[in-house]
Amino acid sequence: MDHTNTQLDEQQRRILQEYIFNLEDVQEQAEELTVANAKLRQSENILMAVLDSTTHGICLVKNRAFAWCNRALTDILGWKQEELIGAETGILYPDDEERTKIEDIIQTHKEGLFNCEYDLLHKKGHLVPCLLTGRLQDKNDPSKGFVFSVTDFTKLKRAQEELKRAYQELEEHANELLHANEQLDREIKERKETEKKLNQYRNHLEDLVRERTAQLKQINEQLQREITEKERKEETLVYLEELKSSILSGISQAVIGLEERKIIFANDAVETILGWKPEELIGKNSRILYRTEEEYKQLNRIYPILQHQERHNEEAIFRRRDGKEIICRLIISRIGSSLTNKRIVAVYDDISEQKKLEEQLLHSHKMEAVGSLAGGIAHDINNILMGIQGYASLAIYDLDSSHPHYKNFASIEELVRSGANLTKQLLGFARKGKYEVKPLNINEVVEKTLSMFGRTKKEITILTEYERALSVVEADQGQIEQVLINLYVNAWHAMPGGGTLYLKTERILLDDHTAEIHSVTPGTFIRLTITDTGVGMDSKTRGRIFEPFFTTKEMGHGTGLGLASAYGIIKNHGGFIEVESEKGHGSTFHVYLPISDKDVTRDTTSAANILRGTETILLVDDEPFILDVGREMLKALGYRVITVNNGKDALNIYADQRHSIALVILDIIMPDMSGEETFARLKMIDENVKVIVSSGYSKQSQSDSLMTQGCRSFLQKPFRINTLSQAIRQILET
Amino acid sequence: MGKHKSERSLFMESLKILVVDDEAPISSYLQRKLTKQGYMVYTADDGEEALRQAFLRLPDIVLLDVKLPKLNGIEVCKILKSDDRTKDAQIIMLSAKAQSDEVQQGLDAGAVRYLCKPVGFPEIFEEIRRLHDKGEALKKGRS
Repeated sequence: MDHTNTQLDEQQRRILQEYIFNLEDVQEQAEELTVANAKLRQSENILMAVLDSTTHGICLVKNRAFAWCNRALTDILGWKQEELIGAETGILYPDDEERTKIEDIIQTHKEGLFNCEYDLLHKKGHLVPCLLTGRLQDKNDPSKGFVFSVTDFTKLKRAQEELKRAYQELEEHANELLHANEQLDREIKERKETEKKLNQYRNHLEDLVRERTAQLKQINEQLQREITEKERKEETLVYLEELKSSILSGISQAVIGLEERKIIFANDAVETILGWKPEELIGKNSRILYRTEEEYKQLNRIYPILQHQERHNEEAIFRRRDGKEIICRLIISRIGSSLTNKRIVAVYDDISEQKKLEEQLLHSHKMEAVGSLAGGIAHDINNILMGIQGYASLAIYDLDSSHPHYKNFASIEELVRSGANLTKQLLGFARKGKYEVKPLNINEVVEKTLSMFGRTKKEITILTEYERALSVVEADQGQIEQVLINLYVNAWHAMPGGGTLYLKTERILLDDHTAEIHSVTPGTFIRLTITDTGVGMDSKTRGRIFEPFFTTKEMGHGTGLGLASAYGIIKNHGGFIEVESEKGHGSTFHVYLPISDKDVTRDTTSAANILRGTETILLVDDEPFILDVGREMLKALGYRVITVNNGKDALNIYADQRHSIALVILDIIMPDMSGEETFARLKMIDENVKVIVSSGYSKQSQSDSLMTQGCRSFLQKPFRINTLSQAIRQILET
Repeated sequence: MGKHKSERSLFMESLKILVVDDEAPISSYLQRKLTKQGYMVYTADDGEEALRQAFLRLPDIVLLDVKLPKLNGIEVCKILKSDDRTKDAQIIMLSAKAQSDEVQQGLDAGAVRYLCKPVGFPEIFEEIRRLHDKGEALKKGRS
């Protein structure tokens, strides 16, 4: 466009610019006009729709003829739209007179709106009452004609007439009423006169009555006061009754009222404590609360006591509805000041649980005391046995098996071993001597002990059910085996004619409450259940089985230490044992051991050979005879031996001769300087000192801490010469 | 276009346009059309009046005729461009002078566009829109 434009000169451009803007303007106006036209058509359509939908007839009249009308008008007047449009308005008037009348009205209202009622002629010839509204279409130009709105009045007219009729009827009724009213007025007047006479007579009568009433009122008031007083007392009684029953139902103790031992009252708590509903008890004899007739009669002795005092306390055993026995603290009070009809109130407080806990506590204290005593004895006996064992070993070491004394010394060794087994049981019970703790698969231990036991007891059927998940406990295998064998042997003894031994291992999560009762740490436990079908135990026996030296077996058949040591060993491993039994119904023992997450370790068992050596060994023990026998044993094995009887000397000697001493054998329990301290100091002198510790028993912590400090070998007294020789070589050759 | 207008009136402050032409039909026509589009439109019919209005109203866009009484469009354009208050105003020359050296002179004076008369309103409006959109983009870029 630009290059054609350049042909134009400046003036032309200016003119063209103006011309273009004018053109644009006109174009815009034309567009706006088109839009306005469309809008106009739209509103015309709306208007037509409105006109078509109204019930009012609407028409446009020009020069006394219809120019346009809507559908409603044809509905009102019966004419069709095409008949009306173009027709003269005259067709709607019944005659010329009427026509002039309406035209006059129209003429006078030329200025604007008018309305009038008028009857128009229907096409069928009848008159239609209508309301006419009209106005000039254009006030300034009458030639544009009138717009009329025609509303059908027929229904309204009919309603008006009916209203009129109803009104007339009403008027007639009103007249009748008026007459009746006048008659009534007359009658009232007559009656008033009669009343006046009656009144005079009545006044006299009233005076008489008033006197009498005054007297009656006085009496009545007195009576009323008495009634109110009585009501107030009753209210208080009801309140007290409610208070009493809410107190009684709120307390946790059972409260029972008795008269001649018959139950006359019971609160809600009797159901919790005694198992009976209150309504079941009331009316019954209190005998049902007791186990025996004798115990029932026992209560009679309190009546004389209650003659002198208001209240009496005691503890007694009762039987609940479900047969369970409970121990209750009983508070008995007499009702009222005297003991008429033996009326008493008894309050029952169930203290069974408390009693059970007290018994358990007492029992564990007892076990603790006996345990420490047993431990002390076992230690001393072990030292003595060590001496006997040592000398016997030495003697037999030099003897040929054909020698006449060889058999005797072998028997001594055998007896020492039996003695050592006994002290081992004692130590187990005393919770001492848990030396070789390592992770064990409990199922393997059970399997091993069962096969050992089952081989010899063919008359017993053994059933097992093992926990599938690997269940490891940290324990001394020898001790756990000892516990199991003890339990099997007991079961066997309980089934003299044979029977079934049922064994089960399972994982159990112990809750805080149960753990607290048995004083163990809550957590996951392995539960070993051993059930026999034997003779069972009564509650008395059941309460004592874990006591040392308690036995039901004939003399010579048991030491009475088996279960006691089992109890001690399991306790010492952080577990506990439970027992369930009833006379004639077999026994079940539950052994609980805390589960461990460590891996099972296995060790190789060394051969029972005697191994010899020539190194120098320092032997430390406070018991002179142990030193003597130890020296002899070591010499017999080929070693050079230095003996000292206390820790201090041991340190001095080791400091002097550390290069020639290959090994130290150290007793743990010594006066002044203990084995533990001695070991620690030896390590200060020589970091790599080789030490075997040995003891008749050891406090758990001591042997444990020695092991963790690097002492890898432990000798349980009494030990035999071959055990000693293997321990020495094992240490010296690593 | 209707949409454009309503957006502007709703969301933006109106753009201010100064129309400078000594021919009243032209300036009044432009004022009417641009006002309809939602702009604030001011007019001036000579060069001095143009400067007075520009410093008073600080317009965003100036539609400037070249042939003007008192002070011609090129002078007005130079003054506006050299004054700090108005140097950012976008100036569109609208002139009947269509020789290429005349056009060059206008652009040298600082006009952003030089429209040769005769020109239709749609074309003028398109230019204003373009400048306006560019201005919005710049504003957005800065913030």
